[in-house]
Parts: sequence; C-alpha cells; structure tokens
Amino acid sequence: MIFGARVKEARDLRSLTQSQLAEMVGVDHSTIAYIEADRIKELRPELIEGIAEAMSLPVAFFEDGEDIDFPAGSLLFRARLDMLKREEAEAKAWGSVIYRRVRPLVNRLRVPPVTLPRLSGVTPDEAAAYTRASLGLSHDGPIPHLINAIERAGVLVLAMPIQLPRRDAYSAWVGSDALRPVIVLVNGVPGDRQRFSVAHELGHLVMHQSRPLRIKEIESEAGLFAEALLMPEVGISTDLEPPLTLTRLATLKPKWGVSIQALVRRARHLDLITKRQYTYLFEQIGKRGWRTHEPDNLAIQAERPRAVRKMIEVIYGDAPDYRKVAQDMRLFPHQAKQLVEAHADRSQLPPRGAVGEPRIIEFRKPTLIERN
Amino acid sequence: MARPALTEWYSYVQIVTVEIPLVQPWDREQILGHVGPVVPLLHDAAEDATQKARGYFDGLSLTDAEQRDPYLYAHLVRYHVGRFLDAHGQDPQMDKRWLANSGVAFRYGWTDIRFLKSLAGRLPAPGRSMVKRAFYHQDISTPIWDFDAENARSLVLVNLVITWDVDYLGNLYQLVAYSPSAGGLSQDSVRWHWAQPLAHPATTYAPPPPEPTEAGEDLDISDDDRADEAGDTGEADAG
Repeated sequence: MIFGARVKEARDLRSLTQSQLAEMVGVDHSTIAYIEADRIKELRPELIEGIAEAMSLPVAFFEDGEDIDFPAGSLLFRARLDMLKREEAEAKAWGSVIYRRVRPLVNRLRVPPVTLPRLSGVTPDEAAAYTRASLGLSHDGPIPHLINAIERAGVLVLAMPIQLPRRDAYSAWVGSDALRPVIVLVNGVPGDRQRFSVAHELGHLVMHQSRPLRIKEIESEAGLFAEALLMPEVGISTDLEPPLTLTRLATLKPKWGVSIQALVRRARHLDLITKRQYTYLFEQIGKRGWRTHEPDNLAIQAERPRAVRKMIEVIYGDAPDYRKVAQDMRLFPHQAKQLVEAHADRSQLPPRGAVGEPRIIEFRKPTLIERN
Repeated sequence: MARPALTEWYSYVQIVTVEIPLVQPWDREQILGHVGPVVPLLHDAAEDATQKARGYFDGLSLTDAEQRDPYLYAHLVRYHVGRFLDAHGQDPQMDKRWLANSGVAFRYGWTDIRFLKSLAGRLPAPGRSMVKRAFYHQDISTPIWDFDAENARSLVLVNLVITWDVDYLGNLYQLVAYSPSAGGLSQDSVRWHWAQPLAHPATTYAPPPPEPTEAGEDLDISDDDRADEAGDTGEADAG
C-alpha cells in the first residue's frame, strides 16, 4: 500500500504538477489527485511502480504512512513576500523528507540537549546577546563557526542537496510538542550569505513562536537579530568607526564572516554612519557589481552541518554500507549517500576553540544578561 | 685655530654604501611592486574624500538648476585626501607634502607621486608650470646636499602620477597610475611610458590564512540505547 501524502511529497520534491506526473505515468490528472487524497484503496502494482519510477524513488518510499510533525515554520514568513508556491512546496518537501529519515536516529541516540532559548518581549539585540551567552560564545567577538555552535545547542541542521533561487534556509520547531529546533539549508549558498541566513533563522526560532506580528516586522526583527548575533555592537563598533570605506570593509569581511553589505547595514543601524554615507557606500558597491557578487578573494567558505553524518557514523560505522542505510531510509543507495554526504565528516570540523560550549541560562531580565 | 694636517683630514672621510635599485621609468612591474603597499591607503583616502566632498554638496540641498561646482568638488577631494594621508599615512617610507590649491604629492620610497584628478579619464597636461613639466619629463636631480645616506629617503628615481576618476554622482570610480614621459601646454603633448589602472584593494586583499590548529571536539552524539537522559527532545520514538 502506498500513501497519498508521500506521492504529494515526492511530486513536490521533483517540482512536478499533478498533470505532469499523470502524463509521465499514463493516467489522467484526476487519478493522481485521488491517489494523493488516499481515495483509491488498491492501486495496480504497475501504477505504483510507474509512479516510483517517474519520481526516481524506490516503492518503499511511498509505503511510509507515519505522520511526522514538520511544520512549514519560517517558510510561511518569507514565502508570501517573494517565494513562488512551487519553490515553497519543494523546500518544505525536502526538509520533511530529510527530517523523516533523521528523526529515528535522533530518538535512538544521545544527542545534544536543546539549550536554545525561546524568548518574548525582548528586542532583537537583547535576544541576540542572550543567545550568544546560551551558545557559550563571547559577548563581543566574531563567531568562527556558527553552525557548529548551534548544533551543540541542540539545533538540528539539515542540508538539502538542491539549490533554490529565492531561499537560503528555513526553520521550525518540530515534533509533536515542537521541542526540537530545525534549520534546513539550501545547497550552494556563499558562506557569508549562508551564515547570515542561519542567524536570521535562529532569530525566528528564538523570537517568533507566538507573536502576532506582520510578516514584514517578523522578517525585519530576524534580520536585526542576525546582525546583532554576528556583529555585536560592543565588538564591532570600533571596527566600523568612520572613515568607513570599501577598502576597510574588505578587511572586515573575513574577520566577521559577513558580507560587505551586511557590514554597511550594521554600521547604519548602529548609527555609526549617516544615511547619506550609507547611500554612497551602497552606490559604490552597486557600481562595482558587488550587490550580487562580492569579490572572489573575499569569499567566505560555506559551513557544513555535522550532526546528521555523525549519527549515521555512530549507527552504521565510519564507512557506512549505503545499501543498508538506504534500505532503512527508504531511498536508493546513491540518494542516501548524497543526503549523508551533504553533511560534514570529521575532518571538516572547526578547529579547537573555534566554538563555545552551550550553556543553559535561566531567562529572567533581558537587560541582565549573563556573559561568558 | 691651526690648520689640520693632511692625515687628520682623512679621518673625516666616510665611505658610504647605498644600494640604489636600477630602475627606469618604463620598468612598470618593478615600480608597481614598489608602490603596491601604499595603494590601499590611496584608495581609502580617495573613497573617504569623495564621500566627504559629495556630502558637502548634498548638504547644500542644491536645486536641479544649480550644478555641483566641479572645481570646488575636486578641491574638496584633494583637501580631504591630504588630510586623510596626514592622519593615516604612517608608513615610514611615505613623506607627504601639500602643493598649491590643496594639491597632494608625496614621496614613497624612491618614487615621487602626484595625486591628480583625471581629465575625462586621461592624464591631464602639466600646463604652464615648469615644475610640473619637469616632473612629467622625469627630470630628476637629487642635490648632493639633500642626499640622506642613512636611509636614502631623498633619493627619487621615478616620478609617478596617480589620477582619480569619479562617476556622475561623484563616487570614486578608479585610480590609474601613470609613468609620465612628457607634457606641455596642450593635452596632445602629454606622453607616458605606461599607464596602469590600480585594482581596488578589496579585489586583491588576501585575508591571513587561518593558523593550523588541532581539529575540534566532535559533536557529543553517542549510541546510548535509549535517549531518556539525553534531554527532552519532544520527539516520539519511531525507531
């Protein structure tokens, strides 16, 4: 027996419409709609195999009927702003498919407990400072490896093996009680943008659980949180003191692991440059074509999450038999391998001392933040 | 005072050895390599100065009919470049001096550099100034009494002009280094050995390589049969 929800999920993964899938398997559009709504109890084996073949997935993939709580999370925020419905569905499906395969591993193993705070009634700056403290990071320095730091605080970071044009990451608290924070990353994003997107999603996870804000406000808050997390005022103010030029910003980019544009925005938000200077700097950035592509020599290496691969290594060994992994994951071996290898192996861990140790801090007054 | 004997005169003679590079104005690579360290400072200065000059005019809230005065704009840029170099040009090889009308020139090692506004993207003519013409002709003579043997700072081997260009908004567009060879009253008389746009330092800056360190601790994930004590994950057991 196959489940309609899995057919829909696979179709979203492949970014196909019902009509396109119907044409591929030689049925009419309504048949696919009925299958996805579980309104056809018995399907011909040839049709099941045809659907599996069209989606390049094993039949076992469609036989998984278990429900998991994997909400769209922050996809709902930015999706309405600029993301196409099709892309939103594709991103959601990938996150859901990966999480479905990872969840049994999380439940079976001892994993880092969740120490990421969930705050309300605080400003983005306060929330970022508090989050830094709970991640065991200094209150003023650059964060050398953000993803590793949040994985140590129990955030499950999943790497999608695909690229999306209008989305770098999304996040949600998942599980039946929504107690596990998850960030899903898109592949092929430059390191500076990836780090900012991860910090942005962290802002949603920390601040936006039940606040009745408008989408633009939510996004703006998450952006300010990301700035404050990656470039804390107390640490970066000296670096951004006038005169602020592109030449100097170029030296600050590798230090803080953020884009030149993010540094300019931070300088403006901290009132270190005037609105006019902000405009001039962005005009110069635009003139040099750096709005879309900052100089290659300043590229920040993208970070890779580690936890998923570590879980696979613990259960299946350092050199796992991907036939076995694939069988358990209800995927083909090459797909299981691709999914696992999108995550970092041991040799790609950040150097010793590059990240702090997460700390559990009781939240009382946002203004009295315990520091490392 | 009695005249010293001949043998006593010998004791005043010092033999000084100064290593003088064999550089000619057409040795582009060697000259650019020599001035390379000062290029980021010049870019920095020019970016800051153009921002400040723009800011001055934007502060006046000129109407559409009122044009930004290009001469004052250029003057302000020169002035702020000079001030920036005064404040930040700490390189011991650098010796900046003011010229008339807030003009900026400086010696850097064995080069003498003038910082000029380009003439629509070209090297401007020296005009009537004989000093400028001599500069363009690489007419260099270091008087022996100026020669500082200790560090050879006063020894100039090559004259350079670095021009600056701005776009129609007044944003710095590019810096170009010229090794001039001739120039007179008209623009047609201007000649140079070579010209080289100076890449923006942001496109050539090489961040220091990370220090090799031991790999960090792996994530604390282990097979514990049950994850009861691992903290409340909130996830149902599906395994």
